[in-house]
Amino acid sequence: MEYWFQRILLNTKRTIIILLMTSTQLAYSSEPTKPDANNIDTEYFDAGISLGILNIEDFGSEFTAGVNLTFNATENFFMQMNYLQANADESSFELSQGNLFSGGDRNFKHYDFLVGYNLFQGEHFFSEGKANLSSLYVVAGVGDTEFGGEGSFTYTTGIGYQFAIQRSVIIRLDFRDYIYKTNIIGEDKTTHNTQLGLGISYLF
Amino acid sequence: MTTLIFSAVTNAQELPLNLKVIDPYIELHSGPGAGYPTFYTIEQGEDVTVLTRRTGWYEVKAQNGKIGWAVASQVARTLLPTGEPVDLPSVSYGDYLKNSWRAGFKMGRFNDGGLEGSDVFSFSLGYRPLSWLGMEIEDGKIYKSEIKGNFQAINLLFEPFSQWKVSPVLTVGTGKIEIESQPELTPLEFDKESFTSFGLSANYYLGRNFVLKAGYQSYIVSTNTDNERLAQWNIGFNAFF
Amino acid sequence: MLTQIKNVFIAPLLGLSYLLVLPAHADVQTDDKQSVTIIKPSKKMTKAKSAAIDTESFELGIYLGSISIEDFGTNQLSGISFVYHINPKFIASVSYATSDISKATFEDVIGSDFLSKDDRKFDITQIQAGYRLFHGRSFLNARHKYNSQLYLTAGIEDIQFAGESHTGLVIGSTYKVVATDWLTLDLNLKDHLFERDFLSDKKLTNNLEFSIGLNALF
Repeated sequence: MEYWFQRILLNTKRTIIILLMTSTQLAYSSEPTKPDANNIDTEYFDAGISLGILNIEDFGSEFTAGVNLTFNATENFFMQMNYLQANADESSFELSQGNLFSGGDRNFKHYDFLVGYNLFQGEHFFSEGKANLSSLYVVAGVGDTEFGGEGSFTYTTGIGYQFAIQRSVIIRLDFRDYIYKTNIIGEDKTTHNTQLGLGISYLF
Repeated sequence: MTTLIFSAVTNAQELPLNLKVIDPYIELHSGPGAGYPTFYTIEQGEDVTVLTRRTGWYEVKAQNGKIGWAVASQVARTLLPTGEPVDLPSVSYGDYLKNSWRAGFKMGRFNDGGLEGSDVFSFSLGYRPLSWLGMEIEDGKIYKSEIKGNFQAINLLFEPFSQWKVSPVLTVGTGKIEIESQPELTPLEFDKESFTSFGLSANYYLGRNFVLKAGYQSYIVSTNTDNERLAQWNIGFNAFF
Repeated sequence: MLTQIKNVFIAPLLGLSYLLVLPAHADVQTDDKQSVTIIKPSKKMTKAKSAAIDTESFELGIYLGSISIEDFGTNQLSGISFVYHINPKFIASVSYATSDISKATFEDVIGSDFLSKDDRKFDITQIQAGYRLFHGRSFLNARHKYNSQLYLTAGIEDIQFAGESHTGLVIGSTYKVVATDWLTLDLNLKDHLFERDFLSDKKLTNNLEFSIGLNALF
């Protein structure tokens, strides 16, 4: 309660001072801005693309392309949204026994929402001199996988590391396991679909 | 002090935020994390220029040109050129989150009603006009071996004690739910209906703008003949920005 | 408002306490700088150094992880490895890993085994070279600091699977953390590429490995 009161008082005072400041500034400049903490350039988000290889269980390995958006929530935690897709070729089994499904169902589409935790924060040197920020992290979350005409509730786990090559450009190397239940081959089973990905992201 | 303000006005675009250190000292780390070593200490009374901000950390430049990362709670205890405390509340959990946007996801399982045993996850986007009141839109999916579904909802969230580290949240919402039974044999009383829901959950502030939320949500689905009740336990994460 | 007032009172108090506790900082806070003589310590502080691969040049270790076999599933993998540090930039390694490949779903569905029990073993013998892309320090919370490096690795391998021997290519990366003077921790991400003729379908397969290794440094 006391805190609230303080805040109200502070805010009112601040507003009055800002008003006074801007009115005095107006006399000197046509576009006044006050020095404000909210004007500071922030680096909370990064957005990126990634390419990878995905092993779809009971199928082959496929190239994936994906996009991701990360919100760096604290120095330890981040939240990430991912979308990726791949085109599944015929498995060896299908080539000998006939296709299990065709057309759009052969597209492997996946999206997920993850929480990440930086196990190690680090600084790295490509050469002696300037340090670049890096980290080793683990992720876990949930999402959806569309494949073979099925939509499946998917758990995602993974580990990866990232390093900056420039102030705002991050390279990420990721291992992910997409775990979901499926019965496309005729038997209900939990599958592990692993992926190695290499991505580049821009921090803003 | 006035000269500072006026010099600042001349380049209104990229305004440097100059602050005066009132703590005995501010430590500069080599990176934005507690683990990064401290390599320099800015003394009380010196000026610092704030360059960029990452969650929990500010990149600052000392008077002698040294650039490093300072923890936000230390930078918060500095003074503006006007002599005012800079408006960077260090911590008070949800209380400072007024006027902030929020994105989050949660996962859960229905433990009652016709969807018992179904997995569910949803993504939500919200806005918090007051420190104790938020609203969100939610889009979710429901999975069971023979059932697929989705729902969209609008929720109001009441969080009266948002200054607490662990704080209760009351949710009231309304929305639409659509269920497709894959083979049409599941004994579900509805396919496409509207619902109202209410729930109780707890926010746990893991960081300044990162929240773990866990709770219980109860749904009343109004079907043609009857009201179907559903209930769900869930856990999720939210980030404010 | 209150906080401000508090700070006005607290700040000098804190300053005073620092004067008492940390005389090194005191000179800045005294107004008259001329009267202060800075006493330089005659003894040089030895800087605390974290464990590093400096005098050691060999590592012997075990690793555990998973491997995903194309057309089959993901299975547990275990292996041993021997690493030689040629110089700070390059390493060479020999390793052997094995995994038991569980039945593919189609084998269960058809109800017949395509592979005999002995052929279900997936054995890899590999020779690799690694290039250190960068080195640096990793921090585990505020207290622990480790030397770490990222290697890009590539090599050739022999794979025994499904009753056949294949020559393959392995590419990947290793993130190595020097935990103590004698122990290192590895995170390995690898892709095993080899051509396989299976069910009369000849193709190049990618088989992804993820593993964590523990090595003794000597």
